[in-house]
This record gives sequence, C-alpha cells and structure tokens, in this order.
Amino acid sequence: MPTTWVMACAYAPSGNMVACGGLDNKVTVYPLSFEEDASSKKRAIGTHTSYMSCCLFPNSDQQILTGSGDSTCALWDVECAQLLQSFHGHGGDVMSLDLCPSETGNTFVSAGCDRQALLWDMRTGQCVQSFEGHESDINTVKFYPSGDAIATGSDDSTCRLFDLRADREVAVYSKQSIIFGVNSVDFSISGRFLFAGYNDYTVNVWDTLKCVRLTILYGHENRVTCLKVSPDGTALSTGSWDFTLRIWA
Amino acid sequence: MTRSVKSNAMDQSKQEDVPRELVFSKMERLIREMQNPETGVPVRSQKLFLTSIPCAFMGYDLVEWLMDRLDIEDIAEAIHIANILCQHGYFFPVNDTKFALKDDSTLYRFQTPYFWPSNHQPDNTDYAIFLMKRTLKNKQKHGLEDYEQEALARLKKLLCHKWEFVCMQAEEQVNLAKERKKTDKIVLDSQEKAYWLVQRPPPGIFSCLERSPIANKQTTKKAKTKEELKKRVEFFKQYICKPRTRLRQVLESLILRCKEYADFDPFISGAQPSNPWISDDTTLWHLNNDLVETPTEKRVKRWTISLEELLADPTGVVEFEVYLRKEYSYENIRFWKAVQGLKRGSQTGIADRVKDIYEEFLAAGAPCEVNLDSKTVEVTQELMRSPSRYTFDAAQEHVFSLMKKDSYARFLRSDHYKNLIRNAQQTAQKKKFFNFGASTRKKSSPAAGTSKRRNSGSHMTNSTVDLSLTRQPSVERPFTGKHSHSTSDLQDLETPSDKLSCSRLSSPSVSRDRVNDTVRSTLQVPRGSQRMEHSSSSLDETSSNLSLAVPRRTRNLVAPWELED
Repeated sequence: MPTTWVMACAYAPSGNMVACGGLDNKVTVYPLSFEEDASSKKRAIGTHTSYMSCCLFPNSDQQILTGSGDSTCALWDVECAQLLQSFHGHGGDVMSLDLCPSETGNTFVSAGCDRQALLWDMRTGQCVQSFEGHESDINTVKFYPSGDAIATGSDDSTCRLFDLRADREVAVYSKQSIIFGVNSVDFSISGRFLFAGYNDYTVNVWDTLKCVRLTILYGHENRVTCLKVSPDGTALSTGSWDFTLRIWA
Repeated sequence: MTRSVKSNAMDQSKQEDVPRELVFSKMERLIREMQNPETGVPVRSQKLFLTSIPCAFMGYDLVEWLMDRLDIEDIAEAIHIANILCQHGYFFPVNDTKFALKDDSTLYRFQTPYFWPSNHQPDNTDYAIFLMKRTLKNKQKHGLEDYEQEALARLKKLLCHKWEFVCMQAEEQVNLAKERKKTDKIVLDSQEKAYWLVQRPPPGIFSCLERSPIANKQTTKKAKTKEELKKRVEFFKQYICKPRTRLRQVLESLILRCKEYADFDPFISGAQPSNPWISDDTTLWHLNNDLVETPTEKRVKRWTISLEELLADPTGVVEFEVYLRKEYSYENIRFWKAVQGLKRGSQTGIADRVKDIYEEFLAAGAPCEVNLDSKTVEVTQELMRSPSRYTFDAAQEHVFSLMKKDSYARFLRSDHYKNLIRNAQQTAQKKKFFNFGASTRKKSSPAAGTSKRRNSGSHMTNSTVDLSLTRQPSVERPFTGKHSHSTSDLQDLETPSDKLSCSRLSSPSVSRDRVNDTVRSTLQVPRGSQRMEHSSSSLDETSSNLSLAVPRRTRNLVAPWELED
C-alpha cells in the first residue's frame, strides 16, 4: 500500500493470503507466493465509506469480515468481491472484531467508540446481544476461549468481562495506578489469564477469575498497540509504537 | 505567566479527541494533588553544592508519594508511572535534558499549568519566538543546539512573511523578563525550555505525545425523535423478558472451564517437553503438528472434553473417522464436514453444492443417507427452495448432536481410543527407560510396540538399542519425570532423513551446552514459570507447576554421534 496508513491485517486460515486495509477505506487481499511479488496480484475486495479498523477471515479463505470507521461491519466474499452481509447498529466507529471460537458458531462480536460491544449473527445480520458499561471508547474485544464470554479493553483504562449467557458484565479489571487506555487484550488457552496491552507501554497480566493483576511486563518503549497469545498457548507476542515486536514466554 | 500575543494558540486544545482528554485529565488530577502544599510532594528551595535551586523536589519524594497515593506495592511500577508523567512534560529534571525520573535525590521541577500538554498547543510561531529569544540572550547559557539552529533556519523560511513580527515579539519578551526577580526568571526559563523539549524533541528522541492517525473518532448522537425513542422502549421491553442464565451458574461454569483446561495451558502447567521459545527446541511443535501419527497423551486426553475439541483437531478428526468407518456410521462425519465446507466456501456454485449434498446425504435412498428426524427434513427442504450456505444448518446441528450422544461417546470407550492412549503413553514410557539405562529386556518391548511405525524396521531398532547402551555410563542426572526430547527423535524417525533433521535441530545447542554450563542454570526456570509459581500459590487447586528444567544434555544422549562430530 503506497501512501496510506494500514490499520489492520489478517492471515487467511490456509496461510496463503493476507488481507489488509486502513485509511484508504478499502479491503485488499494479497495472495502470498514465493515466486512473485505479492503486491502485483493484489485485489481490492470492497470499500467502506470510512477507514477500515479491523479485519479477519471467519474460518475460511473465501470470506472476510471487516469493521470500519463508518460504524458498520461487513462480510465479503473474496472470489466475487461481493458484499455478502452488512451489520448496522453501532453508534460510532467500530474499533475491533472477534469471531466466536466454536467450530459450530456463526457469531462474532464487535466493539467501538459508542462504548458498546455488540454480538452479531453472521447469517441474518442481526444484532443478537449488546453490552454496555465502559466509560469511554472500546479499543479491543476478544472472545473467552469457550465462546461464552467476551473481554473488552477501553480508553477508560479498564478491561471488562461480559458473559453472553448472563447477558451482563461479570468482572472489571482495573486499578488506581492504571490510568492509560487499553489497546489490546487476549486470553491464555485456559482463559485463566487475561493479557492486556496499555498506552503506558506495559502489558498487564490479570487473573480472569480473581480479578487481580498478577504481573506487569515492561520492555516496550512506546505504547503497546497489539497483543496475541500463540495458538498453542506457549507464548505471547506484542507489537508497539516503538517499532518492535516482542515475544514473551 | 502572561504572554501578550498568544491568542491564536489558546483554544486549540478543543481539537483533541475525547479519549486523550480522559487520560490527560487523569494525569492532571494527579499532578494537582502532588502540588498541594500540605498533602503533596514537598517542593522547596533545594541546596545543591553552593547554589540554591528554587522550587524543586527530589525524585524519591515523588516516588514515595505515588506509592502512597496509588496503593502501589512495587516500586518499579511507581517509577514507571513517574517516568511517563515526566515524558509528558508535567515535570522535568532541573539539570538535565533527558526526561526520566530517578529514584534518588535528583531534583525536578513542576511544569506550570499553562504549559501542560492538554492546555497549550505548540505553534510554529511560538517556537520561532522562543528560539529567537535564546539567540538574543547570553550565548553561553542559552545558546542553541545544532538541531535548534536548523529548526530556526527552517522556520525563518517558513515564516518569512512575519519574521519581523517574530523578532519584535522576541525582543519584547526578553525586555519584560529583565524586570522579573532572579529566582522567578530561572524558574520560568527552565519551564519554557522544558516545554519545548517535550513538544519539539531533539532528533532521536520520540515524542510520547504522538497521536494515532485517526483524526476524529465519530460518535453519532442518536437523534431523540419519537421513532428512536419508541425503538428504545421496545428494546428495553424485550431486554427485560429475555431468558438469562443466573449469575452464579455462569461464574461456576467459567471457573470450571478454567480448571478443565488448566492442564492444557502452557502458562499454567508448562509445556512438555519444553517451551520452544525458551529452550530453542521445537519438539513441542513437531509433536503437535496438525496431522501426526502418534498424538501426545495430552492431546488425546483433550479430545475427551467435548466433541468440539475432537473436531477442532485435524488428527482427532482423522482418528474419529477411522473409528466411524469401522462402525459403519461414517456418513455422519462426512455430512458434517461437507456442510462445513459449504458454509466456508466461495459464493459461486452454492446452488450446485447444495444440490450435491442433498443428493448424497439427504435424499431418500441416497448413497450415504444420514439419519434425520422428519421435522428437520421438512425444515431443510423448505430452505432448499432458496439455497444458501446456511441451508443445512438445522440438519448439521441434528447430526452433530447425534454424533455427540452416540458415536462420540462410544468412541471414547472404544478399543481404538484406548489404543491411542496406550501408544501415546508408551512413547512417554520409552523415554523413561532410556534415561535410566534400564535392562535390555525392557527396551525390546517398546521397540516392538513402535516398530509398526517404522518403515525400515530392523536398522532402526538396532539404532535404538545402540543408544541405550551408550547411555549407561552417563546417567548421573536423575530423571525429572518429564518428557525429554528423545520421544520426538524416536517418533519422527520414520525415515533416516527425518532422523537427521531432528538431530540437526538439537545440534546447534550442543556446543553451547558445553560452554555455558553455568549460564544454563539461570535459563532453566523461565520467567514464565516464576510468575506462575506466584499465581499458583494463590490458586486453590494443585496445578502441576513444572519447572521446565529439561536440560539439553539428554538430547545429547539420544544423539551421541553428535558429540563425536
């Protein structure tokens, strides 16, 4: 992407494609190969009316789910570059998406600047549940590994756990000494640990069940903007505005 | 502190987007509390050597105050917060240009509220005036650094149309300043300088005031029209009547889930044989590839949790299919997989695929007819009128629950599954034997057990016998009860080339081992497990907190020919 900011990227499940987008409002797909330069074969799948803040492949190489600053989410077909379903309901920019981890699930959750997290049914495009409670923009949302709960992180410096079955907030992870916003959260494999990356350059590790902070990881020299636990759960990787990616094990 | 011509800079703070204001107001509240003469950080004229430095406080006073006020136990956290406040420009070191807070008697001064980052937006004109002022003053004390001179030259070009104005302002301010008291002058000068160091940092120092590229995050205020309000009322009515699970049940199920999966979480129960990120040994990843011949014990146990776990693991699916074939209920899993493929496939050709699936699995007298109840069949046929990727959802759910109640339950009790466990355990057992250098008799049985996996049986078993023999003399270290790397080497030794690649993986560390024996002892207990030890002591359950002390030496024993190289 020559001139504009890239805000989101995602790997296809097969590992053969990458989707990315950002301030150019477009969803672009790059097929990966060793022989050719990826950017020669890129395709624009769709366009939003504002920046694209997050994207992911919902368990398939053929579809892409995106969230945008125009407060909608959209499901696109890769091959035909068609819009399959759009999801309206947010009152502000959508900042983050996550797909339900279950093999038989058809739902995903999105969260945004309207301080709400919404659960959507991919088949019908309807909002199935909504969660409020944050006092400022929600920057990130992640499903609990069982798919029964979601964790959100916000600029109000708290992370919250909302349970889908109880349809309410069940835990708040905050401390007086944390005043900077959360940019990204992720769970460990069992769901016992919640890792959160903050704007004060640290990663805090929370005990999900006891709501206590277990430890702080220092090391980055600028805000931590993205964070993910490896699929086998052996390590945590973080990316930051200090131009580095770090792996913690 | 008054500036005569600053109106253009005054209200630019309104441009800031809401989220940053929130964190700034939090920081500023803290700073204001710090400046409280009674309960805040003690600020006074400090004596340094022979000079008296006005309005300063010491580093450790601030750290102590922060720990008290914010309930912080760990001093590192307090220092970190103080550093961030410093980088944002709320206070600065008196005698240094590097903005970091040290927990000692280094002196710092608070920034005046006028110069707080949220109040005042820097303007090129202001910067130019500031730089000009410095050039008009004493060269020794206020001389410009290289980068500042470059900046001044640049600004001169940029603002050439009002350069006269800039010079005039600079002169006027210098004259005004001369009328002030000496201590005031020192303080104000230092504050102004610090402000510009934060707003226009020297090259190589990043500014923490950098903003994300999203200029304005929109939040549309919902219009308070009658329709909107009616919709809200409807929404709340439905909300109240929605069926919900009780909070206690929900919490219990969350706790249960954590307990159930604690064994599989490397952060809690450690990774066997070792965490590749720490020990540089990728055995764990080889063992847990998508498709393996012999899944590990843990992996096989994980399949007992639920049918979903089994179907999420490609090896699990393969093993389940093998079992189902024997039981002649193969069509269920095939149908389930076909519908998954339909759901996740491309948009083109959906109608055809729906037809194909129907003809293969659902039509009366189909070759792989699936057992469905009449209601589901009706619903599906209705949906088939307008084929989509979700046409068979109801049917798939029904088949899934059938498999769960029937085939899955039987699979877990079957011989096939028991064999899987036994094989997984045997590979674990084998390592034990090898480590103890047990008698030859014992060695032959595991070799026989795994020989079915060997393509070139005889020469492999020969090599296994060799390994055990050479291991005899070097068994000083007790078996720590964890899987060592030999499993992978033996397991993946299906072809000679595999064996070589495995040993090559271990070889880089061989030379390191011999050199860094003492260093290794510190590496053996990774930070991760130390954290977990702290947490496991606060947990009530007995999580097996394995210290991942799997020494590399055992790997050498497995591949002794490496040592000879």
